[in-house]
Amino acid sequence: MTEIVLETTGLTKYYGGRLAVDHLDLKVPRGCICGFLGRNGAGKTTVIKMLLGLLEPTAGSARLLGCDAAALTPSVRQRIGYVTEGHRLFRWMHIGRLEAFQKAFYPKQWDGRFFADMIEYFGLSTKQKIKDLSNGQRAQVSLALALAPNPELLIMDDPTLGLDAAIRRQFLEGMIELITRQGRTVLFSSHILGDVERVADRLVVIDKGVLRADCSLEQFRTSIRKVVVHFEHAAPAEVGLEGVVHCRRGEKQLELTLVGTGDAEIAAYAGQAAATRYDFVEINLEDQFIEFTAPPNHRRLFQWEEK
Amino acid sequence: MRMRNPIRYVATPARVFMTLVVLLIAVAICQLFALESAQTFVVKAPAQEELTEEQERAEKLRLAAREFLPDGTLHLVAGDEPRDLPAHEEVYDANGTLLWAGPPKQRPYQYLPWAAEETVLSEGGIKSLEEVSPGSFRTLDLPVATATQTREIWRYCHRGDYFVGYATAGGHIGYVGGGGFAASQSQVRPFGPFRRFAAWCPTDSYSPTLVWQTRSRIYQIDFEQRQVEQLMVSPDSELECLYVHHWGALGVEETEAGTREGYRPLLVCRSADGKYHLLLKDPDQKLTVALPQEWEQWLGNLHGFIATAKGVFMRRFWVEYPAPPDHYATRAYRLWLDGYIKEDRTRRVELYRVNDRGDIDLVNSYSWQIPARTLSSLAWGRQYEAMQRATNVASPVFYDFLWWLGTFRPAVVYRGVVGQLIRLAEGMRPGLSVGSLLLTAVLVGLTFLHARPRRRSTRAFVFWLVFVGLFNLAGFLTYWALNHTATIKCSSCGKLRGLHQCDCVRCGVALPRPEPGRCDLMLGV
Amino acid sequence: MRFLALVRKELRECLPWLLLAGLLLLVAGAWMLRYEAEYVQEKLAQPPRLAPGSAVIHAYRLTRPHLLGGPAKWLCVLAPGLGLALGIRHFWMPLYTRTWSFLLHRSVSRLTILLAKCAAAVAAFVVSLGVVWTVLYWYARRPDVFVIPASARELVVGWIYIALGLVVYLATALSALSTARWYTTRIFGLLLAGLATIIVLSQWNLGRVAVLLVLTLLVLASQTVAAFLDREF
Repeated sequence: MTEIVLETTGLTKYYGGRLAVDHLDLKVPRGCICGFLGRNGAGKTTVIKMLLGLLEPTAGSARLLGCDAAALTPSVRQRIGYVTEGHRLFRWMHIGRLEAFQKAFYPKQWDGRFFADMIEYFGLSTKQKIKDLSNGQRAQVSLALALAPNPELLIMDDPTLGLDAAIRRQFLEGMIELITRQGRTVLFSSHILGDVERVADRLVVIDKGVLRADCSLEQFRTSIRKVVVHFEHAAPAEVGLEGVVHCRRGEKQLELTLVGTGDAEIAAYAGQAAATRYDFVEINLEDQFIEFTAPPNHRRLFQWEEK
Repeated sequence: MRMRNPIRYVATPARVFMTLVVLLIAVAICQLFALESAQTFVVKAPAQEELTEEQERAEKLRLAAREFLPDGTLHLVAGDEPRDLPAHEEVYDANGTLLWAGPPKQRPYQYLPWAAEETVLSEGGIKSLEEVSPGSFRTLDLPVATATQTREIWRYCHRGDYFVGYATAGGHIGYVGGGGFAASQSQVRPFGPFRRFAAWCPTDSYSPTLVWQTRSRIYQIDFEQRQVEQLMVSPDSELECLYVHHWGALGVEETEAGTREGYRPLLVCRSADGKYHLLLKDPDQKLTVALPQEWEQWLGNLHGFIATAKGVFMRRFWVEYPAPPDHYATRAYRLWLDGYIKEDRTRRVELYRVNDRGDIDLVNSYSWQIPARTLSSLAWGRQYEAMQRATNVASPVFYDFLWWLGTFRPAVVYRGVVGQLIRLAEGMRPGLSVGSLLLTAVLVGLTFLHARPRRRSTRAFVFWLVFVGLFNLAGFLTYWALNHTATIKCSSCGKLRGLHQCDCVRCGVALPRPEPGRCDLMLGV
Repeated sequence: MRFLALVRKELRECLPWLLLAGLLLLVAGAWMLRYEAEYVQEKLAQPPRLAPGSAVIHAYRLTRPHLLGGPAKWLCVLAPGLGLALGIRHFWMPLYTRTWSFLLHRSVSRLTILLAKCAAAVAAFVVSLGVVWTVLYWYARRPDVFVIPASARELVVGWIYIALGLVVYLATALSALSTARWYTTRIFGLLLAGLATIIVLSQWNLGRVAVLLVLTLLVLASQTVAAFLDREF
């Protein structure tokens, strides 16, 4: 049976009267690299902070490595690595002093050699002050600090935020190498779908605080499809097909975004609606995510009005 | 859902206390500001009544100082403003006949002076020297000096209640206490609970001599001679006021006619049992004057003493009106004050001669009328009281409780911070007025409506209702500041509910789960 | 080891402030004492101010400031100032630099983190102000320098000012940890600290001062601990 290292049950958070996270039920198994996706303001950072005990849930609970997230013990925290959003570190420290500070909390686990190797790999020096580092370099130091204690569970909140493409590539390559080698469980949130695609094997999508998808990457990729159905005359007003999340009308065609709809159902509908033909459109993960999380019948900016 | 910390049992009451104290002060400041503003902009001062010449003259004579000549003759001395340093004086006899007019320095009459207080430092002053504030933190140092330098410094040790001597050339000298000079600390005797002291430099010395009064003794301390003389002891009754005249350089007026001719050094002390103890010199003499009990000291009745070569005299000012009740904050005192200002009163000044046995014989007496306060000035006072009652509507009922406690004991017993708090409570209490009760009821109602959907427990709910009832506006603001949590509408009953509990406090239904989306991809692990 | 690492980090962060405060007190205090010693000797050499045959009217003629009165004024300002600076550095700055998340994820309890900050603050006060004040007091006790040595009360009063600095520190911490608006209850801790300072400075009875300080510290410390343990970051 797969061991669950991270589990939430009905996790809910209100900020004042505003609902930020709504009854989130999530399970992350051991060894999984889980991409945590959502639009701006969806509640990703709120969830991560509740998992780490930085925020108190309004309702529900979460467990990390078998321990209640609201009362994480120091011994459990030692097994969890955390990369904060924006890689906020003590600016007055230099890397060497920061290492010494971090090391004090992991006396038995700290892998100094590994940390030194990572710093060297990223082209940094232990004498450099944090305030003199760029965003990318700070991200690298954060990753090194989080990985050097060999945590079982690594939680990263938008680790590539603000990094350019080259630094992002370097960061991810380093991350892939180390994570897959060690067999850690990772939960990381990101806006960059390309990064998620490269690294994650599981996706969790949250929209307006509500969990919308919890599946493998492959399942996500195969479930969301776009098909264009052509008609001889005007397209029918009603679309009698299960799983339609978006429908854009052309003069004699319908562009349908479908979730979880099989080929047979599509074919049956085309026949029923007297379509002349239907074509599948290749869409990447980013487009799939946008279509999946966009509100129904939303109007795209600067586009002609849908008829 | 909240994390339970044991510290909460201390932190929560601490938070309530802190918030309440700050808000009580804030509300009090607002009330005082409102009262001052109303007094400035709303209350009109009573119009000054036009007086005839005869009335003006009568008023001048009424306000004139009553002075006695050494032979007992009374004069009325009227001066222009400022009263303590007039440029022009007029002297009238007891019948109102003008005897003389001119600048005070040229006045041809020498009136009897009276022993007065010459305190350098009282009990409060000595304590203020010990205040923790850096500006107040000072030492009492008595020098022993020559014309050219200071040889010794005698510093008062408040804790030990004695003086410690140091030579300015270096070195420790010894101690001076109630038993005199002592070489070591173990030998020195404290003076006793301090009340006040006066100081002067003798004519042949640059070093001050002290008259040091404690609760039951009076000492004269000469640091130059290292002598302590006990002038008076009153073991049974606490010593109160101290007056001096020509005692060393104390109580010596500077007049053109000279200062020391015809007067004997006099030291007067009143004890708590109402007796006056007189110490005289030239020759040395001790007298005790026991006045009739009905001649008690209150603001209306004053006594003074003087010792001349021709005898010892006492002056008595008094009002033909019963003395006030014991405690000024009681209803009885308010009624007394009402009667006092509304009626005409007769005021008297009398001169007595004190014989060697301490008995008094009347020499001269004079009386005059003090008119009742005019209606307009009374109305002005009533207006102010009405405004005070209006602003006190927001005060806590708790102040009434403090005031009620204070009425059980005389106000004079409450000294220091406790006394100040009770006097503040007395001035700001709502007095259970209709407005105050109405405001309290409204605020308690608002608290009820606000707390009901947010309540955690019945105990807390009831506590806050009682709290707001007791502390009125400050209590309500405290409740509001500490309990203003968000609410949402319950999806089941539609009423407001707090978010601190999973279930609605009214219908018990939990927070609703979101509707599953048509296209959710929940494919599990 | 973890606790020490935290304390070391907090101390290092407030090092400039504690050095500045300590140096200011040392230099100003030493200069004032040296000046006071010379001034007193000069004054004693002069003829006295009291004339023969005259009454003493004003107590001012017979009182003088304590030997450590000048340095005490500095300490009375420096201690609350240091408390404010340390409170801002320990509790407000992490809000702006957003390093709370990193710090709170250390493998220690929240209470340990808070205690480390408070321990660092106490150490800062003791080292930078307490030790300096005690040194100044020791110098003021020297009989070869001062005719009348300083009294023990002066030493105690200085430490009272240092305790007031701690009160301000806790009040600043409480204000930083509060989630209320600044114009509502957020500044109440500082207002209480101000009120307590005014009341303490007007007292002469050291026992009463001790009670007031203990009460104020208890009120502020308990709230600070509860706020820190329950606060959301």
